[in-house]
Amino acid sequence: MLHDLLAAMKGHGGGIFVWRGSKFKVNNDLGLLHPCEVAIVEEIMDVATDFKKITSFCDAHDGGGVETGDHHGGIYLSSLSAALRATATTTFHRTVLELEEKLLFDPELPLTTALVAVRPLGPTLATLATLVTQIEEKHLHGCQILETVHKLIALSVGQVKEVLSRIEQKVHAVLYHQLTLWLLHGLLLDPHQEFFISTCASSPSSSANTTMSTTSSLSQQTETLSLEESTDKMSSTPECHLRLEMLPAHIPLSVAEKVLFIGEFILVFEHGALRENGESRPSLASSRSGQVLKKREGEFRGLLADLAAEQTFSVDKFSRAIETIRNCVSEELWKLVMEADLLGELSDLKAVFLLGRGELFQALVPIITPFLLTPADPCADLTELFRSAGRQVLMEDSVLEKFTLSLKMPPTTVAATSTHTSEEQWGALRLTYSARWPLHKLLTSTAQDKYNAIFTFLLDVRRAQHRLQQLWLVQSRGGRLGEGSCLRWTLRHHMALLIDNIQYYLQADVLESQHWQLVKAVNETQDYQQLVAAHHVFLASVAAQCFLHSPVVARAIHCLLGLVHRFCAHLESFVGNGSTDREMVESLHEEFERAAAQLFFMLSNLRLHRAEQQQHTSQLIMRIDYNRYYSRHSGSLQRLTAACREGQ
Amino acid sequence: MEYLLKGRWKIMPRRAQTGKDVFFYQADDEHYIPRSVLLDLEPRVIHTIMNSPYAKLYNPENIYMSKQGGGAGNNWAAGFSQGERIYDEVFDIIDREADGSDSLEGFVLCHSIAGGTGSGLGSYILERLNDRFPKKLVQTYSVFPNQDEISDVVVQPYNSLLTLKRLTQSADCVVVLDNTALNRIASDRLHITNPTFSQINSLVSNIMSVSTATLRYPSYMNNDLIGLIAPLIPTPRLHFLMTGFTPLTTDQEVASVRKTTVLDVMRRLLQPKNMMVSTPLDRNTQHCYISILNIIQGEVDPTQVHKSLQRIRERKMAQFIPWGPASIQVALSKKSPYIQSAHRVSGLMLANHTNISALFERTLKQYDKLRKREAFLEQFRKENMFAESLDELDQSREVVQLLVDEYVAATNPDYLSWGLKQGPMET
Repeated sequence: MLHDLLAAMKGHGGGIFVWRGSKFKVNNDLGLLHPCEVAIVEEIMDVATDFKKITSFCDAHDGGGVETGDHHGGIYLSSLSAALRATATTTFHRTVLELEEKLLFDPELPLTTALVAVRPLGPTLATLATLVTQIEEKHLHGCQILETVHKLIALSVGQVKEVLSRIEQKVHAVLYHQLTLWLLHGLLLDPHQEFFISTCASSPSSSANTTMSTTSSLSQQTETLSLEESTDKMSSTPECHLRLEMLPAHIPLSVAEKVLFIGEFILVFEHGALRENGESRPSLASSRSGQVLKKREGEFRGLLADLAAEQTFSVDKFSRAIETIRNCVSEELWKLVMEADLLGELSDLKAVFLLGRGELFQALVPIITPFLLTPADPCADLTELFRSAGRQVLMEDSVLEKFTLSLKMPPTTVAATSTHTSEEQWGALRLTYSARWPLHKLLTSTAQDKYNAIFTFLLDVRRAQHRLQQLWLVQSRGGRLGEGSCLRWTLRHHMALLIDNIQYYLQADVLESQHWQLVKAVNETQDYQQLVAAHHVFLASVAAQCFLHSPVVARAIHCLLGLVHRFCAHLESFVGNGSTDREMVESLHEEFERAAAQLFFMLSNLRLHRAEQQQHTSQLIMRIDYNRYYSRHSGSLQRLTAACREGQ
Repeated sequence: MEYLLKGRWKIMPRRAQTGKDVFFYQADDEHYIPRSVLLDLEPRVIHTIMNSPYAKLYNPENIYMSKQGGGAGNNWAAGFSQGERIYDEVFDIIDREADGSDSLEGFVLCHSIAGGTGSGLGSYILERLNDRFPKKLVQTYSVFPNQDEISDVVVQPYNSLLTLKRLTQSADCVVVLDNTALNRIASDRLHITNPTFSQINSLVSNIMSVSTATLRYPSYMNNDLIGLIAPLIPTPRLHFLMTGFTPLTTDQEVASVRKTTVLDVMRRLLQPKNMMVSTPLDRNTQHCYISILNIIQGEVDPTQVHKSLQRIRERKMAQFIPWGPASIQVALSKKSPYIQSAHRVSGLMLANHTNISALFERTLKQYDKLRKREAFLEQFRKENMFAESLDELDQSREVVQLLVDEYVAATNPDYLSWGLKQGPMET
């Protein structure tokens, strides 16, 4: 009977110890066992049950990807089973073997001896069996296993903890192996989708793009062009992203993001370098190809190997190691980006997107105006117009070629193209910037959208300013005659002054100083990620200081610009005959004074109530109210406004 | 000494928006040639230029000297009537230059108002430019005579008055360069006892170069002539601008470098002693700034600009008009990389200040003195314009008086209603 017991302990049932369901049962029908023995045997059988569960798990998962495509395959599972075999099951085997030897030597061996031998292994095997059951029940695989193991370690004590730690170390070895490849070479060796990072070659946005381009007939040419470019980029530099469901809970998200960053950029930059090699910048690309980590590769390999050899997994050490590598990569990237003349590119962006080259737009606005007066002309090559304006102001072709200008009407109104007003068309002007290889990760299309939002606003202001300036000439030629011309002049002057002051505020107080800070931050940091952050901060604060996020002020400014255009249109149409509708000018004057006072009032309110916007708001207020004209007069104008509202 | 730029005419058709090509074009041999026309009724000054190192700079076809070579004899009427005679030849040159410019925006005209050529021929050209290029801007740099010295041109008040009428009616913008102030600056600020032409001229050329810096270099604002002057000129007649410059140095003085910050520069620009126009203190009228544009060059932290503006506003260093909004606009501009300067920051102020009317009042007073005695009018009566009557002089006086009145009115809060009152009279 003891032999039967041993066989059952090894996992093979018999007449007395029957494998029934998922458990060994004692069949005491023949009454061979004394009831007190039954209890002992049952305890032993519990251990045997656990053992059998573990071994059957190991049998299923030995050799890893036997069942590829299924969730059950994977390197992590196989390494877990190897670890289980190496630790728990061998010990158990040895114990059983010793028992058998004892039994052969002493056939009268009491049943309790077996129990005493097996009992110490009980807790370990029980824990492991729970682990195995959990994995099988929840269909865990890949890095999720790490999480389960790590949790169990935290819950266990003594010998169990020790065994689990050894198992964890083995399983983590797989992670470290993948990490080493990923962190040092950007290689993702992950046939079973077990890693917490994945790459996808086909992005859903490309299909969205296709539908866009088929529906919009306005600028089909440019659309398809950009589409080709984007798909081209997509296939060569795959998008990487975190798979949160695979991320073990004991690895902090921030660390995982760093891991993602390192690998992604090694991948993107080295591949990019290879692809660009022989293209535009062969010298830079070839000298940098594969060089991102070359110098310190050995060091980092050692670092990861040391971590893998650690008995217990320390999140702290792990994070520190990742941070070390990230620092190095980030610094290398910073150098790379700086070598690619990031500062030059940024000032090009400022010159065009942010209207830093005023003369370019002074030339562009009159050139492009006739094309936007009538409903969109599909033949109009806006980019060519833009470039000719650029050449007129002697901008370098190399700079101009990086930009394309197009009309991007909101897709919903495509059917009703003819109803677009010129204002809407101005608002729909979009600049696209084709970023060169190492910079395309920084100046993504999302960043360009932000640039475009600012561009639209700045162009609106610039346009109003330009029109008022042209009106000055018209007035000084035609406006010397006729009565009430003084009001026309002063109204034009007030409008121009307000717009000029807004413009100075935008260009000097906002853009110039923000750009100055950005350049300073870029030069001071040695870290690519901080550089990216600085660029984000730059865009965000410029947008905020342009009041793009403050609908009330934005609307007030918009209303003022609208009045300027109405006033200009009115005077331009009366150029020849010299006599303008005086009442019209007077009502425009009143409306403008009211709108200006309202803007001033809103800005003052904003300054009082929004602490974070206080500084730049007060800068604008100071500019438009430099001789305290508005603060002196706004009181009476506010009353006037209130009276008008009541009247209505 | 009075007309430092006497007779030296430079008309520069200005090609808009073309960076370094604004005032120059490239010849076949890639040299840059200024789009300038040099005019004089006598050869002396132009000969000096042609014997100077700058001789080769100019296009010889653009230099016109009157065939008679007798000059205008310091007589406005003579200059004006000679202009009629040489009209075709002069405008051949100007038309050729204008046609050669891709996007002509306007003309810049440099002259003095006291002598005969600058004032008379200048007035004539000014009127004709207006007729011929009605949509183009005309900006002048006009040199006003030195009041501290006894003039050797006795009819100077007549000349000035007649020219002022044209400057009021036909120019879009006049940058006033007052020889009184220029000499005072040379002696008081630069400690030159007997300033030479070239020393004073370098002051003037400095002002001209900085005031066009935003047109010539890439910048975010004031990119063309209209963008530069339109914000400064609220109503059409108030278009006489003062300039101020700091730091004032000459070649000898480079050694003594002061520390210059944006605030220093902007504060000094508001001091009368740095102004290129000398105006007496008028206690009866509260004179004030109508508009100010500061062009700051050099290494500037843009945040400093705002702080300086704030300080100036708090300390009430500048008095502004009471009838509308007004402000100091600050344009940051690049410095020429070819000019060495010991100063980190330098600045130019273009200001529209009501006090400039004092200059015109002075001219009116001197004119009245002469006119009362009917002095020196024979030379004028010789020319057709004044042969029958002296109405032209009376009309000019009226125009200039109106200009003075308008500037004084602009110091009052009810300037707008003054303008309405005057409205119908504008014809």
